[in-house]
Amino acid sequence: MSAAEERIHSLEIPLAESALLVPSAAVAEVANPTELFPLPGAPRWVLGVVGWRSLAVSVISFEALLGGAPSFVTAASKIVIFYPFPGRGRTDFFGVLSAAEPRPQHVSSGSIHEEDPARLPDTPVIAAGVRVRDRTLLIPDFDVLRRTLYPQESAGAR
Amino acid sequence: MADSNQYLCVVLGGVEYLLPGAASLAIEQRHVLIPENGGGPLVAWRQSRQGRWPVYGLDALLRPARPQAWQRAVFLDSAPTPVGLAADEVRLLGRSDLNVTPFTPLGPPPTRAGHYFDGAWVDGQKVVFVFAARGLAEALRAAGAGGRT
Repeated sequence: MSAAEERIHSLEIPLAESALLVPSAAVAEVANPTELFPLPGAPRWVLGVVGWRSLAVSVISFEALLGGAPSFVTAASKIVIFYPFPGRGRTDFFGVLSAAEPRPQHVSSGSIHEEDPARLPDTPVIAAGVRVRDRTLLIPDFDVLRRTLYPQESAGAR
Repeated sequence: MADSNQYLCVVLGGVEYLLPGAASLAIEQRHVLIPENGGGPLVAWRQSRQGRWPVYGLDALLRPARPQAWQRAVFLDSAPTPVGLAADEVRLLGRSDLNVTPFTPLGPPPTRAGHYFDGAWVDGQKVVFVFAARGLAEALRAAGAGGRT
């Protein structure tokens, strides 16, 4: 297997009407939803905060980040807990509400095909889309996501 | 007045929040304050040698409100005068009773002074947010200015 065909261990995160594809290495844990505590002053894409390993972890709705209606917890939901971005505090985990149990995907250049950009959500939060077994999976732009989650960080860098 | 080894547990609309003890200038009972009956979130005044300090009401989601059952006011340092928060209940908690960890709310801060919170205490699966004093003071000022931050 050439370097170009190296398999990447990824996680497919089902959303209400689409799905994300993220590197498994970015994910700390997939947790069952617990009580979501409303966060005063938060944007609509922050669904609330859960207690996880003695930390307060904000849970975001990717559907709302993409411009749609915020998702909500159902019996099938999971919370995908992401590690803090590099350079952030050790406690800055964040969660994404998944519509169902995430699925491992071992992708390589031979197993995926790039999606037509015209078929992707028109938002900088999505870097690209790929087709895996006839499904479109959205790949987040983690730099844009970081600036969206922590806009003060960007302002401070200017 | 609380000290730096304590947190104030402040109850607003049935929801508990924490405020570092060092952030409070004073805590007063409602009956020693001058009531303000003009409507809106300004509910009382504290007369001090430095002037009158306003007391504002916020609901459980920190929106300007006129609470009915508030019992105490917690005063924070703020320019040009200290500003008070009307609370249903205020309790003192020792720092050793709590495990407060840093918490950065996501998204743009709701006030010019930053986010409302900078920490959280997770007790089991219950989350109690810890106020950032500057953000809270700005929220109270904004309540007095008609909700603008």
